[in-house]
Amino acid sequence: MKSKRVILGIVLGVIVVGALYLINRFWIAPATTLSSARATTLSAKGDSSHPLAPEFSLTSLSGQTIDLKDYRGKVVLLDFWATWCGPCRIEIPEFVDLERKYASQGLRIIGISMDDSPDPVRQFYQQFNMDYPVVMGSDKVGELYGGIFGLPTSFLIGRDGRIYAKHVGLTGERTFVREIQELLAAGPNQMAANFVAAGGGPGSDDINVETPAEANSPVPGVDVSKLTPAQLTEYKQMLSSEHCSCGCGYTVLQCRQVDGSCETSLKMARAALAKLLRKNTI
Amino acid sequence: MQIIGSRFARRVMPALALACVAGVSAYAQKPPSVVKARLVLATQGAHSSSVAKAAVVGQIRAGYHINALHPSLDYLIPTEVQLNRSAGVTVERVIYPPGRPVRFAFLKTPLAVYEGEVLIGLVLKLGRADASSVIPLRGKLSYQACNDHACFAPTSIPLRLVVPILPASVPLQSAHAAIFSKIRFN
Repeated sequence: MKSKRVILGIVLGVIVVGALYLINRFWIAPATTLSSARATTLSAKGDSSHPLAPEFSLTSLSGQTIDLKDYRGKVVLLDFWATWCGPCRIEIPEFVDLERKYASQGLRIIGISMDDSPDPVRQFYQQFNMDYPVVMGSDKVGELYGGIFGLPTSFLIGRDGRIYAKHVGLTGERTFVREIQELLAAGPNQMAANFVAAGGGPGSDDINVETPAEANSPVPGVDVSKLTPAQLTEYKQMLSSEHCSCGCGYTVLQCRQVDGSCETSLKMARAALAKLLRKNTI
Repeated sequence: MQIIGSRFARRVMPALALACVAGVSAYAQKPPSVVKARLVLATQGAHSSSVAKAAVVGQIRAGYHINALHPSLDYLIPTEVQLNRSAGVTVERVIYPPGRPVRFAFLKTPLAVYEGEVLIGLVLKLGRADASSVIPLRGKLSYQACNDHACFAPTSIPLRLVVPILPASVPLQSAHAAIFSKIRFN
């Protein structure tokens, strides 16, 4: 009788855990997309190196509905920022200038504030003469874009709606200018086939020593351009299942995305890549 | 129905419900903190109706900083210690260290920040308590961290400490002397 109860308990436990997984996979996670059923995640659809930008629909500070799908055909700089973030406050005046300069060619900038309350954002908006739309973000929006762990985090989206570059941390204006010009050069809704990241992974482009493939990689600092989509998925899973030994508490992948200067995560990520390639060679 | 109504089910269901909550919480992706912190007492215990010293010992990951209690700029989020109201304990004073002025690439003016180890002193007034009892303390260290090119969302670390109440006849012995010697309580 007792053993039957134990078995029943185990079975119930397995059912609950399975149900939890399914609830999260098909109910909670999609709910975080905020938008229509066509919402995608960074790795869900499209070209592995230039994934489709996840769609969202949010209301701006001025009450305007900002729907990313309405921006198809434009080059979009999506900037996750906050008023309490010093590096963000340096970049924003540059973004204001960039939009004024390139708006006629098709550049649009959308600010996603990660502040808790809109009040300081409104003040900041006026103080810095921001004339591009700013919406209030949330962890859910951040999760759509793979999790926003450090601010500022900027995504450059091409006219075809694909993400061509991601910059975590203060990034030099020259980097944005070069990348924006390349993306603007593509025809309407066309892929920017020759896009080469200007560098400037995490941190400043002034100290960037990465190759473009490394800088524009989903694993900053590691050239994954030779991996197949399946291998890239496996590689990211490897990095997500291993914690960085630098003491940050992040997984190796998170550490690469958050702190590009971390030598430990870079070594671990490169070692994992070598291991994956060895495995596939054998 | 038989299962749901059984004593076994009454025992197992709450545990499973707890496991569900824990599972969902664990699944939610959340960046871990770059600061570790603990709360320690200056002595091995305290006497009833006395004053005790405690300290928050924070360790900030190399390459990162958190804003001081009084940040240099009004938009920055300060580091603060908060203890929950607890029966028999009053926080009399919190002694924060001065921020260290540090220059960062993203600002021309230096910012008052904490880097590396940060020690925050607490003076606690204990009410009457039975000898051999304990007073549990709970609180949090709130902070907002950055490195030299990126910032991370404001967050907090839970703090916990159990203060053993000793009989008046038991002399108090100092603990964590190296930590408390660095805090200016006066």
